[in-house]
Amino acid sequence: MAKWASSLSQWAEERWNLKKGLSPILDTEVTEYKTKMRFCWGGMTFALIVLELITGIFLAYYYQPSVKGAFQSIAFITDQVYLGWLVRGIHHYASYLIIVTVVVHMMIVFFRGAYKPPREMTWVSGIFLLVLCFAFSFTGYLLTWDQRGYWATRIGTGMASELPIIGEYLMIFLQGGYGVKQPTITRFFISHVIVLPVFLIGLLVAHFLMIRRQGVKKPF
Amino acid sequence: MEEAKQRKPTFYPDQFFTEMIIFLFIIGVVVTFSVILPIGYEEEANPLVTPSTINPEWYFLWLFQVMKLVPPTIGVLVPFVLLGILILLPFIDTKEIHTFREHRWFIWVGVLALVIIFILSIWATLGE
Amino acid sequence: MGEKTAIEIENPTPPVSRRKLLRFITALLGLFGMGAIFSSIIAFLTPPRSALKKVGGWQFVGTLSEFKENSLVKTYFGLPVILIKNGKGLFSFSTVCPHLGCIVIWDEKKKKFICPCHDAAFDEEGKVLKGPVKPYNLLPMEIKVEGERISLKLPEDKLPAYPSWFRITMISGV
Repeated sequence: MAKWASSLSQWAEERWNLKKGLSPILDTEVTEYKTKMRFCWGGMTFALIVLELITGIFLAYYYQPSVKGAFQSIAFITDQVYLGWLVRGIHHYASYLIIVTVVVHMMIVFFRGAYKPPREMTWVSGIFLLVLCFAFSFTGYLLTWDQRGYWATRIGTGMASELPIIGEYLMIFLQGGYGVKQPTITRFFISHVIVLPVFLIGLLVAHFLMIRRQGVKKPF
Repeated sequence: MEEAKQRKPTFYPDQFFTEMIIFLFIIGVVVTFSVILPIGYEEEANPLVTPSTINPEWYFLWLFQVMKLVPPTIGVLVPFVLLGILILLPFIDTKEIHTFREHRWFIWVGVLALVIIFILSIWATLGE
Repeated sequence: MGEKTAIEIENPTPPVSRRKLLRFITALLGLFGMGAIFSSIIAFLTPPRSALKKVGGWQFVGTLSEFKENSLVKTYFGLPVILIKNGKGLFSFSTVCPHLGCIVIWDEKKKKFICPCHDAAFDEEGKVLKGPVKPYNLLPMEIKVEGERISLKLPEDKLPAYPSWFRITMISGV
């Protein structure tokens, strides 16, 4: 290693003692399967989620969560903002790919019987992560305030009201009022950019900690 | 050389760099999609007109088709029932297994579910 | 007091169970507190009933001279309605599909109203023909003609037969 690099690392080490502090994370032994590419679907999903977070933050710089401004701001990002079309494209296609990788990930776990004890809670946290993915997709869909998003939300929230007992309450709760209007955009926006990501990060941490504790199931 | 073989893989660098390769690959894929098929934007929302072709996203097509076939209340309950089954699965099926053969019934049910979802999606795409 | 202590020394169960009881009470209080916070959050996030701005009553929608063909599309408090004039007279109904709320379109070839979402179909009087909406017809509106002026009214007595999201859409407008 170059001399300056080693002295830089020594300088950092003296100040923050990172090597020791991060050792429990970095130096943990992982089973050899974990570094094999065919066990990559969970890792791919994680990579995609990181990509969604980054592009989502970029989009939030220009997006306006309002009936009047939402569609205009989407058009503005796409047509005017430098590389705006690319950021939107990545956010869009990564969300598609997440569904693909999550489903493949689940299928592999299911077919290998890897959900069985002692990994049952890892599986359950995974199911909740799947639910979160759909929640992200549902809330994000309205934000463009185009015909597809608007009608999908009207149908989706209408469907919620068909549930027995809690249906009507759930619809009003989801819409943030009566009908798909400004309060719905506000509500979906806040859920999409703050509430769901917080739950997502929490569940992901739990998911990863359990995977680390239990390891990957041995292949047959 | 001998020592390198003996060393067990650790999170850093083994798993970390595998992850990084995956990450670069993923970026490549989504950027390629965004360039080849730019997403653009559609018409602004209009509460007075439902577009004549209104299909949901492809991953909800199967549910869309179910909604066409059964009363709304039953249709809405379908995804919740499926999620319930998936959550309870590891508490019901706790038997330890060592071969695929011992697991074959679950594999068949899983494949059947996937096939049904696939057929419903195709059906919804083709319409009537 | 002294006697009691003696008993306690002989039989060490009471202090332990008292500690257990205290722990139990603390846990109960904690649970109660959590429940209070959680239910308050849900209550806060629930839109208040007053957010419902009720619409209804007679609204002027158009004049007879606007009829070029035998139908006319108008809005009633932002909701799409259709006015039809044929041999049987003048009548009107809402074009919100009672299945899941899409707006039905008149199909000239099939002579039917078709819902683009889940393939429901209605005849020219709004009666359901097929689809997942079997029991529900398109909601007929009350109609009043004064000279040239046509006014519509939401028939509130007919609403209870419809699903809850439909009632809410109708009484809140768009």
